[in-house]
Amino acid sequence: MEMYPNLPILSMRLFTMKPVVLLFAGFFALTVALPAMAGVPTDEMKSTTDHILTLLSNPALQGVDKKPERVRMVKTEMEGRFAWNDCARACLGKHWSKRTPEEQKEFIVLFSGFLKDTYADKIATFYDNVAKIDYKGEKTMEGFASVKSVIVSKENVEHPVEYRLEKSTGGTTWQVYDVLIEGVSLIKNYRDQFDGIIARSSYEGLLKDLKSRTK
Amino acid sequence: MKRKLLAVSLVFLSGVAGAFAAQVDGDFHDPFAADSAEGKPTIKVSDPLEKLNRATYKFNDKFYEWLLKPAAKGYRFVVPTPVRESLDRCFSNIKYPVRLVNNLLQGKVTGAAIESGRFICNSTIGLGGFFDPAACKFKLKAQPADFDQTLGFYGIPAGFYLTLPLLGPSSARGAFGFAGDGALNPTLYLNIAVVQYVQYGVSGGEVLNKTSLRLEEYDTLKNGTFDPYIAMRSAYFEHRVEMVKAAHDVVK
Repeated sequence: MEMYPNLPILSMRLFTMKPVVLLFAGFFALTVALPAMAGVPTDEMKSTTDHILTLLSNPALQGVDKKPERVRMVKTEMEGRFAWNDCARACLGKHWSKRTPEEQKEFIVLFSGFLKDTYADKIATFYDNVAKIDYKGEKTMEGFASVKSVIVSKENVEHPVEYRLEKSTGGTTWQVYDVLIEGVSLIKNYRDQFDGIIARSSYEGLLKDLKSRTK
Repeated sequence: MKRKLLAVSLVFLSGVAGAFAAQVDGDFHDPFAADSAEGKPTIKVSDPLEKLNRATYKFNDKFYEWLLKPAAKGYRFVVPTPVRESLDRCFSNIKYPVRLVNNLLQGKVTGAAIESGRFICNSTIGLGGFFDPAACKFKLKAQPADFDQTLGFYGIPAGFYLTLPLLGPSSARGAFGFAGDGALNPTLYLNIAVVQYVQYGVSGGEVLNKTSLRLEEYDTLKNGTFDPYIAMRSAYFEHRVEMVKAAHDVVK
């Protein structure tokens, strides 16, 4: 009985507080959502890796004898996700501008073929050991993006993988030009190798080696 | 004023240098490569002992191909994967003093505390480190730290590249790091407590076990590279820079 007169006041208070509460709740929801709210580059990377992992988990594709099929599938998925031209160009580094346009074109075809073979093979072999992939945020600047992820193996070992992407020429998708595994950049590693090989032998020597490795 | 001018000209010069660098890179401009160059010191690979290093690399390669790989393959065939993984965790658990001391040397009290908690938990409930309940049940993740990282943390440069026999890629600093970590590895003291051959056996067993879990890794590296020696050297320095950077990031 004593509480009764207080009730309207209470409800009044609640009423006036509601927008404030909502505002705060909204604010908190926003601050909570912000770090989790991934941008387009992350979404695109995530959809590609998720798609590849789903495809590979197909029961009909398991076992060593089905590996060629898995490799083919991964290669198809990789095709549009990578900026092959810029990746090849950056790997050749300072030697790129010394090549004729024909030589550059040939190098892109050969080297991207080699990369696809190597990495599709790797993915088609180790996909089974991936427990999950966490995305740790992204940075974008002037048409470029960096997406950081951590691949967690079934033995609970974490492998940090960073993708560096650029807007495709049409501006419709984000394409990978560099992959950094535990801080080691694919571009830098190949650039150092190519630099060394060209210095010790010649560009022709490198090309010969590259040709012998592409099927 | 003079200082301001200097700063402006420095910025201008670095801009010019940046533009030049972009040009020699075949006009491919990677803003993140520039960003990371700011965040970590530019990696200068120094390899005055390249001839000797390449010879050691060849020796290690043959040792792996002819001895270690066949042995690890046979071992892998006989011992099931879960056992080998448990053994690997056990060898890692024993090396707790290495992580404890280096976490402390880097001023990471939390890291040292987590490592101590992990060691106590995994040595008891985890049956001597065969299992990792600390990570699985208590969310205590390993806090890796080594002496090479500690030396780098205090600004000591990596120095020249060094391929160590049987141990692989290292540097002048890395060799000290290896010696420091080795001194903190309890298995080293088996030769005092028991007999030397027991220590050799344990260390050999550790290498064999680890190799059996990573058999494909070296093969993938060799197939995916044009000069595996340069590839390893480049990756070694880049990875160590990243580790030292990570050590700084944790303290911040």
